[in-house]
Amino acid sequence: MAYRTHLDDLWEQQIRPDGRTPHELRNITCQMGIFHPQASGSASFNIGNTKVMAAVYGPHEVRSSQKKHHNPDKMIINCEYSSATFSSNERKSSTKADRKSMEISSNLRSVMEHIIIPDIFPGSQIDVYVELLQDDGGSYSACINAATLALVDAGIPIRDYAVAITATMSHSVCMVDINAQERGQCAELTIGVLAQSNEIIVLELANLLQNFYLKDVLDEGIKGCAAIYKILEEAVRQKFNKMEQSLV
Amino acid sequence: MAEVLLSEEEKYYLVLGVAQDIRVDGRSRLDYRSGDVEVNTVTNSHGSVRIRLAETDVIVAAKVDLGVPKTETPNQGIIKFLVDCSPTASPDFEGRGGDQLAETICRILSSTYAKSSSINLKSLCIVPKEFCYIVDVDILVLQCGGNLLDVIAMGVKACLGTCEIPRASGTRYDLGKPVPVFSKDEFQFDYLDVSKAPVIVTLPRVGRYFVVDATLEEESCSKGKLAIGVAPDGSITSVDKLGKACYQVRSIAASVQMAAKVGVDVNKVLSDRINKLKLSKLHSAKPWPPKPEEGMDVE
Repeated sequence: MAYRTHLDDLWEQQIRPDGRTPHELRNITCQMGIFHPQASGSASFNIGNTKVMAAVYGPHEVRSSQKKHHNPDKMIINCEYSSATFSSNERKSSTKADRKSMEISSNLRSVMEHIIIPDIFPGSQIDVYVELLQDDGGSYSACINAATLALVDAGIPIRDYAVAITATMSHSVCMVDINAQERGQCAELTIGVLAQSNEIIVLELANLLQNFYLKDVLDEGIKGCAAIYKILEEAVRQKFNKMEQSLV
Repeated sequence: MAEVLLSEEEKYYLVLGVAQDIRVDGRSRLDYRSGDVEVNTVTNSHGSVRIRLAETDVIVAAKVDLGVPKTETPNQGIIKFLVDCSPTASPDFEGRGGDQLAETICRILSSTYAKSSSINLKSLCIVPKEFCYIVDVDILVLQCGGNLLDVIAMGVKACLGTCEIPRASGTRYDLGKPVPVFSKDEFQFDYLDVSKAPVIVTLPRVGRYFVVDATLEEESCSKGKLAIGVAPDGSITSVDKLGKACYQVRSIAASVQMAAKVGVDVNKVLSDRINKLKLSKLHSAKPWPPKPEEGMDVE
């Protein structure tokens, strides 16, 4: 190795730049019902310094702007992702939706359409709004987790939890949950799975990854997803236990 | 603005309650709801505040940048405001739906803070005509439960008050031009002086009476409102009329007086809170490595 730094020494001992081990997730806190009672369902999902909030409105009547080409037997799922102007280190100067956020919106919509039981409320609309407050890597996967929690909070019937995480391979070590600092140096694979059936519904790769590493990285990501699912499940159980107790 | 639909009977009930000085939630006309301010919600900004007043929920974050002063004010820094109404607050804000409201709030904030007495902009200047700080204050509306403008104004004041502005330790001369030099110690910063910064008191008129801190339901009973900027000493920095109501001169005079009275109290509470937040920040900041104490010095 031509340029050897102290970080390389850390890699050898399998310690990542922020001090985590390869399989360690950042601290996760999630909360449901943060926008109660205005939104039907809402949740916040923080993983490390990445902070996301999601709100679900509906099911409600289809709004007039979307009524034109709408089949009354179907249900409309509407997703909008927006990132706050202060979310990244470089400040965004306009509040307009850029191409990246439009892409995330449409991707998010396909995930939501996949997990919500189809056409259970014909002729109605469900709005899912996701707001990125701070981005420190893995924002798209955090959005998926937050949106899932918000859907559960709204009581909308879903087939399964969609959980997502990022994973990568660097210095011949498989790592899970990449932060912004690591993202600059290595490939980033965003993996989303349906928690119980373990079917992959999101797979997005940025940067270069050797193809014989792919399987290992995927396995690592799926393991990470299982860990996230546990945390989400815990949050949901806590909330509904509390509700149950208050009813008794 | 996010609106709720009320029937005539509900409106009647609300208006009658206000006339008897007992509002739906038990407050009198001049009472505020309870709220909370939290600092450092967004850690990659120089100062950030999440302020909640009942259901209204707003994040204000300030980022400080180096820039060139405006030519008409060569020895002053710049404070810019940008409001973003997130669709999480209401589906009406989806796409470009919230832009009009955002613009209105932005304009009111700028006009309220435009007075040179409210914040000493000269303290933001580093080298006249060449370098100054540009403070970008970004406001994100997460939830709208009535009285949005007041909450935003309070949040902006708290955010500016707790914003850490890097300290320029001096200037060096590069090709004969002065260039600021910043200290490398991240714990060396200055706070802006917000002791004269205004808050906004919005007074919607419900029936025949003005109320303070209206809920969404009360706002839907009023046709228009007056947004009055009040400085801590009780002086009025701005008056804006919003909505389609008409007022008599007499009632405007009365409402301005009322706003001044309420505004002084709000300013006082907020200033206390800002000072407390600054103290708590001071305790949480631990410079590493710690400086050796004087008694422990080896002679």
